[in-house]
Amino acid sequence: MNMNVKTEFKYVGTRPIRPDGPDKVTGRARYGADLNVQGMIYGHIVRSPHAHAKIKSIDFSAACKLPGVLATMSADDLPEPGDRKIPGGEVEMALKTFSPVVMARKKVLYHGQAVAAVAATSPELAAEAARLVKVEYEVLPHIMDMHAAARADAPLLHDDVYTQGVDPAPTTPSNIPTQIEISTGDISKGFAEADLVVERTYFVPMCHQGYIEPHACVVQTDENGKVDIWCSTQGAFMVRTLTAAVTGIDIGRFKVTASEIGGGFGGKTTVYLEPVAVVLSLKSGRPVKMVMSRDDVFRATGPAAAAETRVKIGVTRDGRITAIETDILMDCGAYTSHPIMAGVLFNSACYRCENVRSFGREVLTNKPRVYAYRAPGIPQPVVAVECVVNEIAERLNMDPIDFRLLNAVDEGDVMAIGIPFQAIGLKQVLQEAKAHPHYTAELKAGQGRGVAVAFWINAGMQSSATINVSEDGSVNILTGNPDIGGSRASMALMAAEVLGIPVETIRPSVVDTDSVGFCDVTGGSRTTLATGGAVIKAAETLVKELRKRAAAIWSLDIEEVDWTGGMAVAKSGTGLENMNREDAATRGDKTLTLADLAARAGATGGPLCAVASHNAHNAAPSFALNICDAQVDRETGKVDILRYTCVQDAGKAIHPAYVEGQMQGGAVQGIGWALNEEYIFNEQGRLDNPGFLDYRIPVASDLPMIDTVIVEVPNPLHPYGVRGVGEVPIAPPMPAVVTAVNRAAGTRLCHLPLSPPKLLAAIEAAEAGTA
Amino acid sequence: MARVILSADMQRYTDGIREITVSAGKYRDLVTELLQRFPGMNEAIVAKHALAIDGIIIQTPLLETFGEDSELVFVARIAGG
Amino acid sequence: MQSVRYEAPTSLDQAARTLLGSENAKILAGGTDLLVQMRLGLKQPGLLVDIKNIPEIMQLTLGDDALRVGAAVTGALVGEHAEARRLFPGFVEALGLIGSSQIQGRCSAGGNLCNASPAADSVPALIANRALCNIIGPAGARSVAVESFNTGPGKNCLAAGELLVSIDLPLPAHRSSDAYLRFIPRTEMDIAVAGAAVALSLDEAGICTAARVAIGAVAPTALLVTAAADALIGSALDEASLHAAAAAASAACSPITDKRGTADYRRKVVGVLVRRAAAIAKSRIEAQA
Repeated sequence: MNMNVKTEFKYVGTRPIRPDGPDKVTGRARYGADLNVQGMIYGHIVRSPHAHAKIKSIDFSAACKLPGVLATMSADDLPEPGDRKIPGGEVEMALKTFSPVVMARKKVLYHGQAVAAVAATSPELAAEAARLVKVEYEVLPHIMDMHAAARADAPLLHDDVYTQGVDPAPTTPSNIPTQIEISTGDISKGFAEADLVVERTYFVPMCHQGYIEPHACVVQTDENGKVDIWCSTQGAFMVRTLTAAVTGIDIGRFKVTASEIGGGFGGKTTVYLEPVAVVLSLKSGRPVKMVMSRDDVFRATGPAAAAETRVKIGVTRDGRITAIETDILMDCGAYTSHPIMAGVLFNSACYRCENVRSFGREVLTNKPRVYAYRAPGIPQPVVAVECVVNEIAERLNMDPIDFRLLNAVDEGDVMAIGIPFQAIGLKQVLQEAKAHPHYTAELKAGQGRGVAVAFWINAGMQSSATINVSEDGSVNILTGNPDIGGSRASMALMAAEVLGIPVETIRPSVVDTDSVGFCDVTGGSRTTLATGGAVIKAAETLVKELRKRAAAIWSLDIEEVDWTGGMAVAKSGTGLENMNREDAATRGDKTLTLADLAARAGATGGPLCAVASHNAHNAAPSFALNICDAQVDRETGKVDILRYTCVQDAGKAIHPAYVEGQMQGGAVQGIGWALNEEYIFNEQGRLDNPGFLDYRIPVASDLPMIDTVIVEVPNPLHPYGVRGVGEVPIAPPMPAVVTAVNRAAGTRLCHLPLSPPKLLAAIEAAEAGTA
Repeated sequence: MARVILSADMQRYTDGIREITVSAGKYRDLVTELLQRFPGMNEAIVAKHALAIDGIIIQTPLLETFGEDSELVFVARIAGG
Repeated sequence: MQSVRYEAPTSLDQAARTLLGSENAKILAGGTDLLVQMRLGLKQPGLLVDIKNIPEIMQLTLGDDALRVGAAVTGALVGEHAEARRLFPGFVEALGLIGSSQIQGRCSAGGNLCNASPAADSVPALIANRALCNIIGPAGARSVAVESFNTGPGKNCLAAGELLVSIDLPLPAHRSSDAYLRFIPRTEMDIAVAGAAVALSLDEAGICTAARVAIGAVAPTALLVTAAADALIGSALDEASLHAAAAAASAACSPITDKRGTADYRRKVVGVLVRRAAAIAKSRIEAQA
């Protein structure tokens, strides 16, 4: 199934300025909250003041008395989810796990959950009206601790959740929706063969993606039943699918336009405001705008799961891993989602090991429902696995990279779930890291270094692309994937490569759901691979058409016409790659440029355009490694990150600067999660830090320049060798930072984040222990 | 005969059998064969899985075909971000 | 729906009259606290009295006895004042720690003080420097020592109709300097978990002749810790006396446990900060010509 992977490129691999760059740095770019339309009114959501309660009644009468209040809504305006399943991008989603997140039904399960909404002629009026909505609650005991929630006698969040994956099927509901176990080989035999066994338990807190742009939308409906949505999202088609499902309105009535997006990281792969605004618009007959506050974003959108992972690894004296056992308990908030799957399946995918047992359970608590965050489900258990691997290497007196090289998976090795690896770049990543000057740079007293590697599976999924040629030979590329990480630049580069024309003559656009074929979300590290693949296919179709047109003009057969250097060449002059027109002319070859053919399109069969779509089955995994140097203030527990290097296999970096951006961004987010980021809930089950002041993502001055090394081991299944790059960078930072900090401080703190008070206590305990 | 590795979830319906061989050459025939062989299993359970054919994970394998020496692995679908 | 009136008096008299005539008035200086609190729904004033058009409130002047900082003089302006930086490096750096560059263009020492957050960065530095608050009101003008200005979290000593006009920092004696340190988990854009300001005078032999130690974010208001100062005065600021000052500061504070840190942690860290700030102030004096 291996295909011919191109390795020589003219445009791919260069670093042109992104086409959306000037608009973004000058403020012209329009984000979710930037659209205003004639007659627009403003929606405001009424949110639960309780972490767990029954909704007894909702009374809008006082709110409706305010002049200027034009519509109200609650879950009564939405269809009952029942057991309906909605096709998501990669997995099916049960409507009842996300419709109540849009608008609670009968019960609220976390503080800040939407219970009702109002729309009025100004934002202030809408906020005032929301305050006047009287909701009567019967408060129920809330349960925040995942261990407590997992107990059999715990108060239940749902009376219809039965643990899946248990035999015999349970007859009583519980707060554990999913249990999963995979195993291969014989785990007891593996530990029996080991000379050293290390077992530790690591805790990773619930954290938020921290995208800078809050969720926002404008919805316009008309008397013909048409529903236009403008919103900040990772997928306009996903918004169409999910909003249709939540509102019960036919998909065919929707047109969704994605605005520019100020970050998503997986957090904008669902809908929150859009179905509400649709209902408010239909009821009021007016366009409705809704914008979340930062407080709303933290309280009521989907963070990443908290998890506790116990890991036990056995090795022989000479450093061969004989057994890996993991046990994960993952806190997924109030409704079922499935980050546990990836966590269980792939937590130790970097290592060749015959005996693996991996077990995991999801737990529901009175916290917001978790959603995707870069490589969902993986960073939490990888902290545990990688920190233990570092500890083992240290105890065996082996270099941690050498230890990993000895155990690293390579082409032909089989994962614990039975799938063999194709060509992969883990060993090359490890070797590059070892050769990097950072790895051998001297450390001073009080400083520590950590390394960690991670694997992510990456997705393919469905994408479409359209290419239109203008009369002057300039080219428009249309796709349906919101550009988060520079994908427009990558699309243009890949099209330039196929068409042989300068990348600057190509204008890539992200268009609405009426204007291009279906595209799954920008997520799962799939856009460059899958949507890029559709662009390559469409460009190849266009080249074939251009050769056909030139052949017609010259009265030749298409086989006698080549396409090279951006022009059709009669075949007498084949053999020269990327020739220019003068060269061809001096050789006496006939040529027609794209502009020539565009000018004569009408006479040769009509406008030049090409469409391609596919379900990309050619995703390939990626591996990433981080090296972190940290210094600890022993009197305050403050950590300084001194130096940081990321190494990652990108397959082929279409636009290297934006691959580096993904690597650096993931590192920064992982450093934040390791050191300070966490959801802090108070006694009432309310989030105590719903803002960037006390939810501490790193600021620029907290960080050194993040160095990057791109490794390119081509994906054998992709025409240009592309692998996904967007998700795996979040997985290695936490264990790299935790190892570096613990080494610097002489501690073994396993409870993240390593915030100063916790670290200082650990330092004092360590000092007392040695005294 | 293609070799099939069943997922942990599927193994709950196979008395713990992890690996089988099948005569099918198409995904649809593979499903039929599985359901005949393991009456406890049903189509919905199979449909929850992606199928890896010789190392390539296919989320929607409905129309896929494979060879006699193919290695097939049923794997739970994973969502990315 | 509540509406907010806005007045911008151009004299102290006019401001005082406007304030007295309104039940629910709030003074608007830079607005870096007030506007955020209004947006969060924590404060809902009926009248905003913008004081930035009043000359006395916007002036920064170096007199013979004191540096006078108008109540709404911005952090950025103070930071650009070379003499202020030379005379009160600790105060200037404390004020400069508030917010971002953008916030520095609006925030002020007066606002930082009146907002009465226990964690205000510039307040311990003002206390260490024996600052006096000049207040005007219906009963005329009065001056209050800065350590007595705030009475609790969010509470200050201003009576109805009273207004903070300026803050005087008495000029330091020969061979004096100050320093301020705060602890935050990040490097900037944060609120102090603990803060400490130390102002010192040394004789020619390097013996400490005068000291003021103030700590922030570890009690309902910033505290003047005389016991910590006493530990320094008469010493050569050796390790033992620095540790004694640190211990005195830790003993004097009454911190709370919240999302920003535990009481125990704050108590420890405030001592560390006092010790380190004293060492910096000492090195600043030694660096003087």
